[in-house]
Amino acid sequence: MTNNNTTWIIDDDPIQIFVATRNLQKIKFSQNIHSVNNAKNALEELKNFTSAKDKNFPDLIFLDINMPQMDGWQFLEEFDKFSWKKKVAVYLLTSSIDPNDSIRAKSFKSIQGLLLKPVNQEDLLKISREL
Amino acid sequence: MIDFIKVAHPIISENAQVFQLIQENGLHGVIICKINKHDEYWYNPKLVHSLGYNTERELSLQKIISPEGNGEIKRILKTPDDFGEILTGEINFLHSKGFLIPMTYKSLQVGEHVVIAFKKISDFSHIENNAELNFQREQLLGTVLDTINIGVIACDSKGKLLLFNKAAKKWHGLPPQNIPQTEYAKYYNLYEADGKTLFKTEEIPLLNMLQEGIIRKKKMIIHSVKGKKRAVVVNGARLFDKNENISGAVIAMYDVSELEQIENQLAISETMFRGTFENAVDGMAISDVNGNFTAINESLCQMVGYSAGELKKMNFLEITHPEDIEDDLKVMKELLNSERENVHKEKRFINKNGSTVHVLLSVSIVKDHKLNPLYMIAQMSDLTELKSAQEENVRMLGITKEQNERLKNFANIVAHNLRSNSGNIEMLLDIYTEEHPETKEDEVIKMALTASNKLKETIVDLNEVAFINMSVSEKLIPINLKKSVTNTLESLNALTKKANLRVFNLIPAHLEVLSLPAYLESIILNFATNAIKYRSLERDPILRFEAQKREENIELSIEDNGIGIDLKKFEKNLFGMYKTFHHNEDAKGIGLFITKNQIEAMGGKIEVKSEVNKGTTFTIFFKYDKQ
Repeated sequence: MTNNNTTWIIDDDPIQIFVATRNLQKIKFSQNIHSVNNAKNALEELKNFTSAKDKNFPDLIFLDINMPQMDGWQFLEEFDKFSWKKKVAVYLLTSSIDPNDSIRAKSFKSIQGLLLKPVNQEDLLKISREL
Repeated sequence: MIDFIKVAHPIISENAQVFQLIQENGLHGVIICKINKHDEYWYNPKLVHSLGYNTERELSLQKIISPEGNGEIKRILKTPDDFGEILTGEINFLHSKGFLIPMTYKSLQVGEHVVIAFKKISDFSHIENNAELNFQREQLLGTVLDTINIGVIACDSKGKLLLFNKAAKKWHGLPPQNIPQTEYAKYYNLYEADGKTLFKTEEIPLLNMLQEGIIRKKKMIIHSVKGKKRAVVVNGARLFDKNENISGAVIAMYDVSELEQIENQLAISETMFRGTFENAVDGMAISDVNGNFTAINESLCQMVGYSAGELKKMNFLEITHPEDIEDDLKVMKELLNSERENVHKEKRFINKNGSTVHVLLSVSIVKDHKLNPLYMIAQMSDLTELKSAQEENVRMLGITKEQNERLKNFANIVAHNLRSNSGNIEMLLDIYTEEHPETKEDEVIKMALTASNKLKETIVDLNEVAFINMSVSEKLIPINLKKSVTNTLESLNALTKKANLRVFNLIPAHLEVLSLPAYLESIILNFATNAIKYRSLERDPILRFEAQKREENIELSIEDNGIGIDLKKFEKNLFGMYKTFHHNEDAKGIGLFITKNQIEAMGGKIEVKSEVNKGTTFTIFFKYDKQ
């Protein structure tokens, strides 16, 4: 997976992080897997990068929609304001496919798709093949 | 005075001009004086008689002429007039009984003499014999008689008809004829007040008046030959000649038909109003222009709890809710000032028992012919029950809203919290069994897995229910029904083949219903899977789709020949959540609930007919685009 070295998981649910991390590792989705349990913290961490070429800079983000403090949508609005010279693929995580979410997702250029939680290996493999 | 006094003065007979003057202007007397000798005069016997004296003896001008009149005579005598012209003027004479008699004079000087001729001013006797004037009078009378709308008929002392004015002729519609009195009633169609009984001859008003001097039956109905009935009231008088003998009789007939008609109508509307007023379900009241009650019906009494007697001593403001008084007064003022014709408004009274009475009030003002307000008529319908029902509705709406909010929250909880946790449990169990393969046969783990699966399924169902959108009706689009059924059933191909289900799609090709594609697909899918699930194993399963366009809806009927539903037992719960009616292991009892909700969300409805072991027919009513 040359293009996908670093994967971030942003979710407030530790079980989700545990399951997702485990499944990602199982199928060797990427070299680095980094999890953040709060969208605000994730934004802070991203701001600290001086270059998108940093090996810890995410190539792909799994982003939970429903989070306290800052939800996935609010995170994306801030995220899209960055002027990284790198395209980051974002996959939204949701516990139910709400048609409204799909429509809203189309207004964000970074969103590649929606995933139903809990993240299973089949879906991850599919994404991995698409990349 | 001495030798002048003779029956005729020589001047009169000697001078033609004087003769003519006296003929024309000396009707009531002549005085002849000598110029400048006014104590030498002559006057004729006619003047003496005109002033009420029998003899000229001991009379003097001072005695028979007023002082001013004497002055006038002196002036006439002092005015020399040699040209024989005639002077005119007025002089007041004194009657023997003391009153003044004004007369005009014309004087003419003849040599030494002045002749003065006198004529009474107020006396018209000179024209009474004027034939022309008589004619004018007759014509006047005739015109009056013919133009007034009063029938006038006169007869002579024998009862022979002398006069029939135009109105009378018109009413009878017949020319007067010389017929015996006994024929009058029949010929002229004279009926008594009942309109049926012919008048007896001696009671006919004209003859009655002639014979007895009175009219016993003053009311008479005249049937004209044209069929019109006319009610008349008759007055009359006897006529007398110079010797005070009865010379005839005259009657005047006043047409009272219209008056009677108006009276009848008035009586009818009065009765109607009274009936309406007293028996009305609505409260009714009449008040003076200040709002003091003068009449109150029973309904109003019951509405406000006071007796009519109590209310008659009250003003309507006394039973009006304090908060409504200001507006009532304003509206009343507008009514009385003719700024508005009537009022329809809601207001509140206070019942004697203290409770509030809501009414719908209508008020009209009755005015006299000068548009001065006379009194007000008010009508009130009791809205109290309606009001409390309305309040209850508002309260229920509030509760419904609140519950709806709670349902939304519930839906959110289902969609996210429940779902993610059940997903987590499932996933964690998977991971656990994967990492500890030996636990796969562990009964507890097995049961935990089953429980987790069931929980997940339930949550999926719940989620679907919770997200049925009740505000989709504006997003509906026309969808071809036949195609939609065909396409949806294709996805079930494997299942239908396995069950050997024969599907008849008999929907007319052009029908389009207003729907959401996802909902329509879900609905068709649900009925198709039901037909498979609940097919009868005793016969080949059939599923038949038919549709018809009606005025209001497109009706889609879906008929199967399956095991049927016992509607007597289950109709109430058929479309409920988690209701199953068969011991089919696939039955989850959520399909019909979701289907019904989806149909209703699209503004439609669903009906069912079923017979156990024969089959079931569902009829779905869809909206369609009527343009």
